[in-house]
Amino acid sequence: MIKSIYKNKLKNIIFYLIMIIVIILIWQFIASYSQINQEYDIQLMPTLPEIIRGIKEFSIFNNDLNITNQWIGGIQVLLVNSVATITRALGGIVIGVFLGVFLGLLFSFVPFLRYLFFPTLQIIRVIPILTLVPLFLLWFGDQEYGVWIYVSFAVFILIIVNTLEAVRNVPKKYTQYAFTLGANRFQLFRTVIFPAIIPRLIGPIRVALGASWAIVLAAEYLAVQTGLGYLMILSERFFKINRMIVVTILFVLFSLILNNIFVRISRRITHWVN
Amino acid sequence: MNHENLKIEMKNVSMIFDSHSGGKAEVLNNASMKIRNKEFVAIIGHSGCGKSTIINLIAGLQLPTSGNILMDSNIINGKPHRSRGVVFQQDVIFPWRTVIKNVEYGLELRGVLNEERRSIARHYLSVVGLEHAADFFPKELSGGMCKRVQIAAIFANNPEVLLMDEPFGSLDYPTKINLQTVLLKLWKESQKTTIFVTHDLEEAIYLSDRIFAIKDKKIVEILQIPFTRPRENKIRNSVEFVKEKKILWEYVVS
Repeated sequence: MIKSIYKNKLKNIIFYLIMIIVIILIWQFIASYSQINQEYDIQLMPTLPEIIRGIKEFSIFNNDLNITNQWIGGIQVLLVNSVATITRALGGIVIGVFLGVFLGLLFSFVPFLRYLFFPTLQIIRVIPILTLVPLFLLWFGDQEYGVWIYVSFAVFILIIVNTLEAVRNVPKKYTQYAFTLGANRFQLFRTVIFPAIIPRLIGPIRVALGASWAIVLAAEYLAVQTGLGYLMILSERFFKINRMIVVTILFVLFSLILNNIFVRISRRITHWVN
Repeated sequence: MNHENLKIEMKNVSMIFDSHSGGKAEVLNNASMKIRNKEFVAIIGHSGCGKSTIINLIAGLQLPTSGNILMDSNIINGKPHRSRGVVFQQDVIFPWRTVIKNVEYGLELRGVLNEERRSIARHYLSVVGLEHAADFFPKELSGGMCKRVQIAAIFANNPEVLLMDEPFGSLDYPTKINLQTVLLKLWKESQKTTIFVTHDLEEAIYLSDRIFAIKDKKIVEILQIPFTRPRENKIRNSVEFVKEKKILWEYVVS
């Protein structure tokens, strides 16, 4: 992910913390300065206290009447919507990857299916996935399952094409070796092809991670009534830049966390790679 | 050659490859070869003359352009089978499996149960001297160790015929000697019909009973090795050994 500049991990963390504090201070300086000289009614760069106040402001969307504290209300709203966005993204990836790998292996195993579907897949793959948002909007409206279908589909196309390619690139020597040890075609796919393609799929899955995140947000901007993207749009409509910044920070945070988790998992799975 | 004794036969085999530039490369033309059961045979020749092709043909990994390959008088063209195991020159053991799971692989395919699989695998690992490395992954092994795992894996699968395509070609001399000794130790346990392809004359003489060479796209027997088994390493420097080597050398150089 981010290359360590110092070998010492602690030094590394301190370095990044200092950088973040510096950025925050610069932001605060620019924001307060622009407030003094403002020509516009709308505050384009909110100051730090205003941004933090933005968290409280989200409590107005809270439907739970038991919670009166604005901080808790605000955090709850942010939490609930974050969970909505993250489950959509992760759920879509899991479905898309499983279907993509499974059908990729199946089509490789039964060449007839591959010849049948490959041209279609190649064509669909080239279409930038976000251009299909209006289409999905029309088909599914603001339905929850529509977002899931859209994300799963996008991930599926990406993964199946890469799976087919990965299977093609499995070194012939492993196949020959397996045959001379008595493997039949099915055993070959189960014990050789499948483990062999996993390292090659890490890259595409990582891309899918980023793509699914973007797709979920796009769907939330345009159609769906929950999620971080939806909060972003609500904030924008009321010109509440400070709330938009809060949502943006959450975007970045979750994106980094998911990416980090994925890198750790993928390193463990491919520990055997030379 | 006695008909009952005949294990592997190549009958009038021709092999023509399509080269990338559009032409055709004929590697074997009407080549024939007979190998007895439990015989250890070497095939020598320079690179590119078709030695690997012979291995691939007998293994069933390639189809001959014409002619037949027979095992126990059955045609086996293009059909790989566990009865004909191959030790390739490259490292082909699966990097995603540990050493012992690699050796177990053939047995696993056959449905042999866990306990039995493990004990057979451990036996062969100890014969090749790698019992301490059972849980290592291939990326932690040296070239010689990888080769030993490969040999253990093939022997654990108990093929009737053993095909070896320059298996020690990429190793240094001391490791090579060591592995040749290991190979003969394994071979002593169960004399499999073996075809060993190499360009190393000393290796061919030390290991085999008969030596073939490729001449004019045909396979020709050029030497019978008189030494009895078991063969100790020191015979490599004996007068008789050098005499055989001279014959081979004259042949190869000419």
